[in-house]
Amino acid sequence: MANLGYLQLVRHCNQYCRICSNPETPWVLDLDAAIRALDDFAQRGYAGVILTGGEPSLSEIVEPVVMHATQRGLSVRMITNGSRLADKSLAQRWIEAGLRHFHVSLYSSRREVHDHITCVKGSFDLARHAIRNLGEGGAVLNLNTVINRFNCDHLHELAQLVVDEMPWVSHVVINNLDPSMGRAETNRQALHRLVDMEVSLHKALGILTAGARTFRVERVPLCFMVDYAHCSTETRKIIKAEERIIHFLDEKGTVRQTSFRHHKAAVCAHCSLDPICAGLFEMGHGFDETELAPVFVDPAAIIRRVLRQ
Amino acid sequence: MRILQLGPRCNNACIFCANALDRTAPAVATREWMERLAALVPTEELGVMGGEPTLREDLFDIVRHAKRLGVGRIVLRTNARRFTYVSYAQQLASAGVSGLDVGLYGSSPAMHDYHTDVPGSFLQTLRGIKHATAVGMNVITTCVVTRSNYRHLVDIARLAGSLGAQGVRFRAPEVIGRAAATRSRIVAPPELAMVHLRRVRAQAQRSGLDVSIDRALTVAVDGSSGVQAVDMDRTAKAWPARQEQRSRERRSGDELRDILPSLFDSSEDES
Repeated sequence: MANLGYLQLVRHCNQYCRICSNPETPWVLDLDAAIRALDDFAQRGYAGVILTGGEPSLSEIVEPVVMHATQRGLSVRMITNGSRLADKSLAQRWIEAGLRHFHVSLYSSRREVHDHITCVKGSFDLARHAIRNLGEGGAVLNLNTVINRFNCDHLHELAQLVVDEMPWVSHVVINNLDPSMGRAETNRQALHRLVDMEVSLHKALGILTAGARTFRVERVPLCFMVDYAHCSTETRKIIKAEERIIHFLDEKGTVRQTSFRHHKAAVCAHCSLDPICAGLFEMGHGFDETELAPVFVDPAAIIRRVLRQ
Repeated sequence: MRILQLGPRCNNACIFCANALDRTAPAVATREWMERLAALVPTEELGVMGGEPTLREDLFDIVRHAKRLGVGRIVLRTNARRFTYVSYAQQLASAGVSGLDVGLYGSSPAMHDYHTDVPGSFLQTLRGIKHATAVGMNVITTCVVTRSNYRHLVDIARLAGSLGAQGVRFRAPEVIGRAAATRSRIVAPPELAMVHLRRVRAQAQRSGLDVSIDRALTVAVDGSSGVQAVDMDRTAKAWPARQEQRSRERRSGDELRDILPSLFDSSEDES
């Protein structure tokens, strides 16, 4: 088991993503609270901590947090939009301080689509500069993206961009849109149908596999990723009985997530993957249960593959 | 082939059934089928379909009448469940039925029975195909390709061949009737199904099984998705989230206890 804790350092941001699931609040984590959280993760035997936000690179305590986490034996990574790390000197300073693992968010291979999603012109170029700076600086580099209506038909182009032009990116995290909270709730144009992403997602995962990149897909029910079911974040956690703790800087506060099951449709009872599928996140709130269809593949092969990795 | 329709009554309840909304229509009366049949002859080949034609007790009369009118070959479109009784298969063969076109929608009981919505239908259909071939009927199977079976088309073709079927037809669902209400659940993406259809063709070349594939299965049904459907200029402004609090105010220190009490409580308990 490799449990990871999530620490939101700040909740403000220098982008204004229309798909953001953690929009701005006034709270800012200070070093005292951060150290309490890190000590707690260490005591629980967690493998590491993910610094997130808002935009965590806007926090003033990044370096002491990294130092303390490292001292407690926790691996540290940051999920960032990359805007500040487009500055090579800052990227280098943080890598030298021990922050050597980054997830940079990139929502499309197309500059205009990415900038439209973030509502910040130039954000695409900044993210790509950050990827280059961090990659050339020797950091472990992952790419995060969120499936939404603006990019759901060309996810495979993003995968191709990673394989062709981002040799430093070893792993890609693909999250389906969270339609129920944050800005996606008020910006409904961002909401897609699952069938609209299916073909492009399948192509994307094929391209990443052929390009020797690993990936995880979150909030996508297994009937939409049967060939890659072993790469579903929730399925892996269900099979491995993993958990995660997230310290939100909002009313949700501290959440210890031990169940990774969402909603199911009645037809899911027919599905051979039902026991290892999380179902559909926020079914009925934005996604339609009539899109779910049972499949009849062998779950044992998927379970074996997850446990082997 | 000319088709004689005998009405929508059926003992399966297939998820993609195009006739599902007409199920309450009355059965075709004797005089009516005789008139329909008279309008179809002369023909060398007659397809008889429902609903499920074997639910009609006068099917023997219909078959014999068609033969008397000079029809050469009679093929039933059926789920073959009634052929689980070998005597029934023998009697229909004797009456003049020369072939069956059987709906086979899965390679396993769970897969087929999900599509028919009748538990146990898979085993009855399999037995029916075996009995029909045993009494000398030519059998082909038809598989309506769906999101739930497209990954198993090779297995379905292999199964049909092993039961003695001479051919397998893969058909796209008609998006009317029951399928129209749950289209997203039923229609397989052609781009993904295509791979499996190609494998079926390759396997058929090796095994000698006659395979036919509806063209509709190899053509994208519609392109209404993603960026093409979105005018990005008209959605340029992003709205704040309902719970969003945007300000220059920053809350930290003791105020964090309001939202992260467990972080502080657990630590204080230890001290």
